[in-house]
Amino acid sequence: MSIPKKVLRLLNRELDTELSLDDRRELSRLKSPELESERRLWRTLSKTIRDDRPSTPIGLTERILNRIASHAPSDRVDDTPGGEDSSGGVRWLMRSAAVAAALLVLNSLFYVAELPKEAQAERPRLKSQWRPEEAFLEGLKEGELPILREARPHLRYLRFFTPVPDGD
Amino acid sequence: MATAMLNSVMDEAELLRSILEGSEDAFRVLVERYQDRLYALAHRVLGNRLDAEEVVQETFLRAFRNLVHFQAGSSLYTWLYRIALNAAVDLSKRQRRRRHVSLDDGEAPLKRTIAGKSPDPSDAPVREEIAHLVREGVDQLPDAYRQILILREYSEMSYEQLGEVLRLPKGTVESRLFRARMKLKDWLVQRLADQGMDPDAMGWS
Repeated sequence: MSIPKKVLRLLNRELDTELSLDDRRELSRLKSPELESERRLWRTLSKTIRDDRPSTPIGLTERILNRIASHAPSDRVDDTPGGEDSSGGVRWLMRSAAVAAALLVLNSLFYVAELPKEAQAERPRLKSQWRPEEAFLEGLKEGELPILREARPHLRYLRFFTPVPDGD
Repeated sequence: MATAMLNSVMDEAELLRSILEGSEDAFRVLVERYQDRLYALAHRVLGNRLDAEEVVQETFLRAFRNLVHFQAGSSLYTWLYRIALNAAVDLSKRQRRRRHVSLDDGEAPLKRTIAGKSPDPSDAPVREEIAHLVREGVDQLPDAYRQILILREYSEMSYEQLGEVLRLPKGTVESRLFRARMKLKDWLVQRLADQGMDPDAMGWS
Protein backbone atom coordinates (compact mmCIF):
# COMPACT_ATOMS: atom_id res chain seq x y z
CA MET A 1 0.00 0.00 0.00
CA SER A 2 1.47 3.34 -1.00
CA ILE A 3 1.50 6.17 1.48
CA PRO A 4 -0.39 9.32 0.44
CA LYS A 5 1.78 12.28 -0.47
CA LYS A 6 0.15 14.35 2.24
CA VAL A 7 1.37 11.91 4.88
CA LEU A 8 4.84 11.79 3.34
CA ARG A 9 4.95 15.55 3.66
CA LEU A 10 4.14 15.17 7.34
CA LEU A 11 7.07 12.79 7.69
CA ASN A 12 9.26 15.34 5.97
CA ARG A 13 8.24 17.98 8.48
CA GLU A 14 8.64 15.56 11.36
CA LEU A 15 12.21 14.84 10.29
CA ASP A 16 12.94 18.55 10.21
CA THR A 17 11.26 19.15 13.57
CA GLU A 18 8.83 21.54 11.92
CA LEU A 19 5.59 19.85 12.87
CA SER A 20 2.74 22.08 13.92
CA LEU A 21 0.36 21.01 16.66
CA ASP A 22 -2.23 19.93 14.07
CA ASP A 23 0.40 17.97 12.14
CA ARG A 24 1.37 16.18 15.32
CA ARG A 25 -2.23 15.24 16.06
CA GLU A 26 -2.74 13.97 12.54
CA LEU A 27 0.43 11.89 12.57
CA SER A 28 -0.44 10.25 15.85
CA ARG A 29 -3.76 9.14 14.32
CA LEU A 30 -2.03 7.52 11.37
CA LYS A 31 -0.12 4.67 12.95
CA SER A 32 0.52 1.81 10.53
CA PRO A 33 3.39 -0.59 9.76
CA GLU A 34 3.87 1.08 6.34
CA LEU A 35 4.17 4.47 7.90
CA GLU A 36 6.61 3.18 10.49
CA SER A 37 8.73 1.60 7.80
CA GLU A 38 8.73 4.79 5.74
CA ARG A 39 9.66 6.81 8.79
CA ARG A 40 12.57 4.43 9.44
CA LEU A 41 13.78 4.85 5.87
CA TRP A 42 13.72 8.64 6.06
CA ARG A 43 15.53 8.62 9.38
CA THR A 44 18.14 6.19 8.10
CA LEU A 45 18.81 8.36 5.07
CA SER A 46 19.04 11.49 7.18
CA LYS A 47 21.40 9.89 9.68
CA THR A 48 23.54 8.37 6.94
CA ILE A 49 24.02 11.76 5.29
CA ARG A 50 24.88 13.39 8.62
CA ASP A 51 27.32 10.69 9.64
CA ASP A 52 29.04 10.92 6.28
CA ARG A 53 30.06 14.49 6.98
CA PRO A 54 33.64 15.18 5.80
CA SER A 55 36.04 16.10 8.57
CA THR A 56 37.86 19.42 8.57
CA PRO A 57 41.53 19.30 7.56
CA ILE A 58 44.04 19.87 10.34
CA GLY A 59 45.41 23.40 10.50
CA LEU A 60 42.59 25.03 8.55
CA THR A 61 42.04 27.66 11.26
CA GLU A 62 45.62 28.88 11.02
CA ARG A 63 45.54 28.94 7.24
CA ILE A 64 42.36 31.01 7.29
CA LEU A 65 43.78 33.46 9.83
CA ASN A 66 47.08 33.74 7.95
CA ARG A 67 45.27 34.44 4.75
CA ILE A 68 43.22 37.15 6.37
CA ALA A 69 46.30 38.62 8.02
CA SER A 70 48.04 38.91 4.69
CA HIS A 71 44.88 39.70 2.71
CA ALA A 72 46.66 37.90 -0.04
CA PRO A 73 45.32 35.34 -2.44
CA SER A 74 45.98 31.78 -1.40
CA ASP A 75 49.02 30.06 -2.86
CA ARG A 76 46.93 27.03 -3.58
CA VAL A 77 47.40 25.70 -7.09
CA ASP A 78 45.06 23.11 -8.51
CA ASP A 79 47.19 20.18 -9.50
CA THR A 80 44.42 18.22 -11.16
CA PRO A 81 44.97 17.70 -14.89
CA GLY A 82 43.54 20.61 -16.81
CA GLY A 83 42.64 22.34 -13.56
CA GLU A 84 42.97 26.03 -13.17
CA ASP A 85 44.29 28.04 -10.29
CA SER A 86 41.16 29.23 -8.56
CA SER A 87 43.01 32.08 -6.88
CA GLY A 88 43.71 33.54 -10.35
CA GLY A 89 40.61 35.70 -10.10
CA VAL A 90 41.75 37.21 -6.83
CA ARG A 91 45.22 37.86 -8.26
CA TRP A 92 43.71 39.49 -11.31
CA LEU A 93 41.60 41.70 -9.10
CA MET A 94 44.61 42.74 -7.04
CA ARG A 95 46.63 43.49 -10.17
CA SER A 96 43.72 45.50 -11.59
CA ALA A 97 43.39 47.40 -8.33
CA ALA A 98 47.12 48.23 -8.39
CA VAL A 99 46.91 49.43 -12.01
CA ALA A 100 43.80 51.49 -11.24
CA ALA A 101 45.51 53.10 -8.25
CA ALA A 102 48.57 53.97 -10.34
CA LEU A 103 46.35 55.50 -13.03
CA LEU A 104 44.49 57.56 -10.46
CA VAL A 105 47.74 58.98 -9.09
CA LEU A 106 48.96 59.81 -12.59
CA ASN A 107 45.62 61.32 -13.51
CA SER A 108 45.50 63.54 -10.46
CA LEU A 109 49.05 64.78 -11.12
CA PHE A 110 48.10 65.52 -14.69
CA TYR A 111 44.86 67.13 -13.57
CA VAL A 112 46.65 69.55 -11.25
CA ALA A 113 49.23 70.41 -13.89
CA GLU A 114 46.48 71.11 -16.43
CA LEU A 115 44.41 73.38 -14.21
CA PRO A 116 44.44 77.06 -15.03
CA LYS A 117 46.36 79.14 -12.49
CA GLU A 118 43.24 80.77 -11.03
CA ALA A 119 41.65 77.37 -10.58
CA GLN A 120 44.72 76.07 -8.80
CA ALA A 121 44.59 79.05 -6.49
CA GLU A 122 40.91 78.40 -5.88
CA ARG A 123 41.44 74.72 -5.16
CA PRO A 124 41.98 74.96 -1.39
CA ARG A 125 38.79 76.99 -1.05
CA LEU A 126 36.77 74.53 -3.11
CA LYS A 127 38.25 71.69 -1.15
CA SER A 128 37.18 73.21 2.13
CA GLN A 129 33.62 73.47 0.82
CA TRP A 130 33.57 69.92 -0.41
CA ARG A 131 30.65 67.93 0.90
CA PRO A 132 30.86 64.25 1.53
CA GLU A 133 29.20 62.24 -1.21
CA GLU A 134 26.34 61.13 1.04
CA ALA A 135 25.47 64.69 2.02
CA PHE A 136 25.63 65.76 -1.60
CA LEU A 137 23.28 62.99 -2.71
CA GLU A 138 20.98 63.62 0.23
CA GLY A 139 20.75 67.27 -0.82
CA LEU A 140 19.90 66.23 -4.36
CA LYS A 141 17.19 63.87 -3.17
CA GLU A 142 15.60 66.60 -1.13
CA GLY A 143 15.51 68.85 -4.17
CA GLU A 144 18.25 71.12 -2.96
CA LEU A 145 18.98 72.58 -6.36
CA PRO A 146 21.56 75.19 -5.37
CA ILE A 147 23.83 72.25 -4.68
CA LEU A 148 24.10 71.76 -8.42
CA ARG A 149 25.30 75.31 -8.86
CA GLU A 150 27.75 74.65 -6.09
CA ALA A 151 29.05 71.66 -7.95
CA ARG A 152 29.56 73.43 -11.25
CA PRO A 153 32.96 74.97 -10.62
CA HIS A 154 34.22 71.52 -9.67
CA LEU A 155 32.76 69.92 -12.76
CA ARG A 156 34.38 72.48 -15.05
CA TYR A 157 37.82 71.36 -14.03
CA LEU A 158 37.24 67.69 -14.52
CA ARG A 159 38.98 66.74 -17.72
CA PHE A 160 36.51 64.16 -18.96
CA PHE A 161 33.35 66.12 -18.36
CA THR A 162 31.78 68.39 -20.93
CA PRO A 163 32.02 71.93 -19.54
CA VAL A 164 28.72 73.13 -18.11
CA PRO A 165 27.44 76.08 -20.17
CA ASP A 166 27.30 79.38 -18.30
CA GLY A 167 23.98 80.85 -17.35
CA ASP A 168 20.70 79.16 -16.44
CA MET B 1 42.99 28.52 26.10
CA ALA B 2 41.42 32.00 26.05
CA THR B 3 39.70 31.56 22.70
CA ALA B 4 38.15 28.28 23.81
CA MET B 5 36.62 30.08 26.77
CA LEU B 6 35.44 32.95 24.58
CA ASN B 7 33.93 30.45 22.17
CA SER B 8 31.76 28.95 24.83
CA VAL B 9 30.49 32.18 26.31
CA MET B 10 30.14 34.66 23.47
CA ASP B 11 26.89 35.01 21.62
CA GLU B 12 26.76 36.28 18.05
CA ALA B 13 26.18 39.93 18.95
CA GLU B 14 29.08 40.03 21.40
CA LEU B 15 31.30 38.24 18.94
CA LEU B 16 30.47 40.68 16.19
CA ARG B 17 31.08 43.66 18.46
CA SER B 18 34.48 42.33 19.54
CA ILE B 19 35.53 41.62 15.97
CA LEU B 20 34.54 45.12 14.88
CA GLU B 21 36.57 46.48 17.78
CA GLY B 22 39.55 44.68 16.28
CA SER B 23 39.84 41.63 18.52
CA GLU B 24 41.83 38.93 16.75
CA ASP B 25 40.78 36.40 19.37
CA ALA B 26 37.15 37.07 18.57
CA PHE B 27 37.73 36.48 14.87
CA ARG B 28 39.48 33.23 15.71
CA VAL B 29 36.42 32.23 17.73
CA LEU B 30 34.23 32.95 14.71
CA VAL B 31 36.43 30.78 12.51
CA GLU B 32 36.57 27.94 15.02
CA ARG B 33 32.85 28.07 15.58
CA TYR B 34 31.79 27.79 11.96
CA GLN B 35 34.64 26.37 9.89
CA ASP B 36 33.67 22.70 10.32
CA ARG B 37 30.12 23.19 9.14
CA LEU B 38 31.14 25.46 6.28
CA TYR B 39 33.86 23.04 5.22
CA ALA B 40 31.48 20.08 5.23
CA LEU B 41 28.96 22.02 3.18
CA ALA B 42 31.57 23.17 0.64
CA HIS B 43 33.04 19.69 0.42
CA ARG B 44 29.71 18.12 -0.43
CA VAL B 45 28.85 20.81 -2.95
CA LEU B 46 32.24 20.66 -4.66
CA GLY B 47 33.31 17.08 -4.11
CA ASN B 48 36.93 17.62 -3.14
CA ARG B 49 39.06 18.81 -0.26
CA LEU B 50 41.14 21.46 -2.05
CA ASP B 51 38.20 23.34 -3.49
CA ALA B 52 36.31 23.08 -0.21
CA GLU B 53 39.24 24.55 1.70
CA GLU B 54 39.58 27.36 -0.82
CA VAL B 55 35.89 28.18 -0.40
CA VAL B 56 36.09 28.25 3.39
CA GLN B 57 39.13 30.54 3.31
CA GLU B 58 37.40 32.78 0.79
CA THR B 59 34.24 32.83 2.92
CA PHE B 60 36.03 34.10 6.00
CA LEU B 61 38.04 36.58 3.96
CA ARG B 62 34.85 37.99 2.42
CA ALA B 63 33.20 38.02 5.83
CA PHE B 64 36.18 39.86 7.30
CA ARG B 65 36.06 42.47 4.54
CA ASN B 66 32.32 42.98 4.72
CA LEU B 67 31.65 42.64 8.41
CA VAL B 68 31.22 46.40 8.78
CA HIS B 69 28.31 46.21 6.34
CA PHE B 70 26.70 43.31 8.15
CA GLN B 71 23.26 44.25 9.43
CA ALA B 72 22.99 43.62 13.12
CA GLY B 73 19.40 42.38 12.80
CA SER B 74 20.36 39.40 10.65
CA SER B 75 21.98 36.20 11.73
CA LEU B 76 25.74 35.95 11.37
CA TYR B 77 25.38 32.21 11.06
CA THR B 78 23.06 32.29 8.03
CA TRP B 79 25.06 35.15 6.50
CA LEU B 80 28.23 33.04 6.60
CA TYR B 81 26.39 30.08 5.13
CA ARG B 82 25.11 32.21 2.30
CA ILE B 83 28.60 33.49 1.47
CA ALA B 84 29.99 29.94 1.58
CA LEU B 85 27.22 28.47 -0.52
CA ASN B 86 27.49 31.20 -3.14
CA ALA B 87 31.28 30.81 -3.26
CA ALA B 88 30.96 27.04 -3.59
CA VAL B 89 28.32 27.27 -6.30
CA ASP B 90 30.39 29.84 -8.23
CA LEU B 91 33.48 27.67 -8.03
CA SER B 92 31.55 24.59 -8.98
CA LYS B 93 30.21 26.35 -12.07
CA ARG B 94 33.72 27.44 -13.04
CA GLN B 95 35.29 24.07 -12.51
CA ARG B 96 32.92 21.35 -13.52
CA ARG B 97 34.40 18.59 -11.52
CA ARG B 98 35.83 15.59 -13.29
CA ARG B 99 34.75 12.92 -10.99
CA HIS B 100 33.23 9.60 -11.55
CA VAL B 101 32.47 7.13 -8.82
CA SER B 102 31.20 3.75 -9.73
CA LEU B 103 29.66 1.21 -7.47
CA ASP B 104 30.83 -1.49 -9.83
CA ASP B 105 34.45 -1.12 -8.76
CA GLY B 106 35.30 -4.36 -7.09
CA GLU B 107 32.82 -6.45 -5.26
CA ALA B 108 30.90 -4.29 -2.86
CA PRO B 109 30.23 -5.62 0.66
CA LEU B 110 26.53 -5.12 0.10
CA LYS B 111 26.62 -7.33 -2.99
CA ARG B 112 28.71 -9.93 -1.27
CA THR B 113 26.43 -10.02 1.72
CA ILE B 114 23.24 -10.04 -0.22
CA ALA B 115 24.40 -12.91 -2.38
CA GLY B 116 24.71 -15.09 0.70
CA LYS B 117 21.99 -13.89 3.03
CA SER B 118 20.03 -10.82 3.97
CA PRO B 119 22.32 -7.89 4.75
CA ASP B 120 22.51 -6.71 8.29
CA PRO B 121 22.49 -2.91 8.30
CA SER B 122 24.28 -2.92 11.64
CA ASP B 123 27.23 -4.73 10.05
CA ALA B 124 30.10 -2.23 9.60
CA PRO B 125 31.00 -3.01 5.94
CA VAL B 126 27.33 -2.97 5.01
CA ARG B 127 26.89 0.33 6.81
CA GLU B 128 29.86 1.69 4.90
CA GLU B 129 28.36 0.47 1.66
CA ILE B 130 25.02 2.07 2.45
CA ALA B 131 26.84 5.33 3.19
CA HIS B 132 28.61 5.04 -0.15
CA LEU B 133 25.34 4.44 -1.94
CA VAL B 134 23.60 7.34 -0.21
CA ARG B 135 26.57 9.62 -0.99
CA GLU B 136 26.29 8.68 -4.62
CA GLY B 137 22.56 9.24 -4.49
CA VAL B 138 23.01 12.72 -2.99
CA ASP B 139 25.69 13.60 -5.53
CA GLN B 140 23.49 12.76 -8.48
CA LEU B 141 20.67 15.02 -7.29
CA PRO B 142 20.16 18.25 -9.24
CA ASP B 143 22.13 21.13 -7.64
CA ALA B 144 19.14 22.82 -6.01
CA TYR B 145 18.03 19.60 -4.30
CA ARG B 146 21.53 18.59 -3.29
CA GLN B 147 22.29 21.98 -1.75
CA ILE B 148 19.15 22.20 0.32
CA LEU B 149 19.44 18.62 1.56
CA ILE B 150 23.07 19.04 2.59
CA LEU B 151 22.36 22.39 4.21
CA ARG B 152 19.54 20.91 6.23
CA GLU B 153 21.35 17.74 7.30
CA TYR B 154 24.68 19.35 8.12
CA SER B 155 23.50 22.57 9.69
CA GLU B 156 20.14 21.51 11.12
CA MET B 157 18.74 24.90 10.19
CA SER B 158 15.05 25.60 10.45
CA TYR B 159 12.99 26.20 7.31
CA GLU B 160 13.12 29.89 8.06
CA GLN B 161 16.91 29.95 8.32
CA LEU B 162 17.24 27.85 5.17
CA GLY B 163 15.00 30.37 3.46
CA GLU B 164 17.34 33.17 4.54
CA VAL B 165 20.41 31.41 3.18
CA LEU B 166 18.82 30.35 -0.08
CA ARG B 167 16.60 33.41 -0.40
CA LEU B 168 13.50 31.28 -0.75
CA PRO B 169 10.07 31.48 0.88
CA LYS B 170 9.49 29.03 3.71
CA GLY B 171 6.94 27.04 1.68
CA THR B 172 9.41 26.56 -1.15
CA VAL B 173 12.06 25.39 1.30
CA GLU B 174 9.73 22.74 2.63
CA SER B 175 8.59 21.46 -0.74
CA ARG B 176 12.11 21.48 -2.19
CA LEU B 177 13.40 19.46 0.74
CA PHE B 178 10.53 17.05 0.34
CA ARG B 179 11.22 16.58 -3.38
CA ALA B 180 14.93 16.16 -2.71
CA ARG B 181 14.24 13.35 -0.26
CA MET B 182 11.72 11.69 -2.55
CA LYS B 183 14.15 11.81 -5.46
CA LEU B 184 16.91 10.38 -3.31
CA LYS B 185 14.68 7.60 -2.08
CA ASP B 186 13.45 6.73 -5.58
CA TRP B 187 17.00 6.68 -6.88
CA LEU B 188 18.16 4.38 -4.08
CA VAL B 189 15.28 1.96 -4.48
CA GLN B 190 15.89 1.83 -8.23
CA ARG B 191 19.62 1.37 -7.72
CA LEU B 192 19.10 -1.53 -5.36
CA ALA B 193 16.56 -3.09 -7.71
CA ASP B 194 19.02 -2.75 -10.64
CA GLN B 195 21.51 -4.74 -8.64
CA GLY B 196 18.98 -7.41 -7.94
CA MET B 197 18.59 -6.41 -4.30
CA ASP B 198 15.39 -6.09 -2.43
CA PRO B 199 15.13 -2.74 -0.61
CA ASP B 200 12.98 -4.54 1.98
CA ALA B 201 16.03 -6.53 3.00
CA MET B 202 17.70 -3.28 4.05
CA GLY B 203 15.05 -2.82 6.66
CA TRP B 204 14.03 0.37 4.92
CA SER B 205 10.61 -0.44 3.67
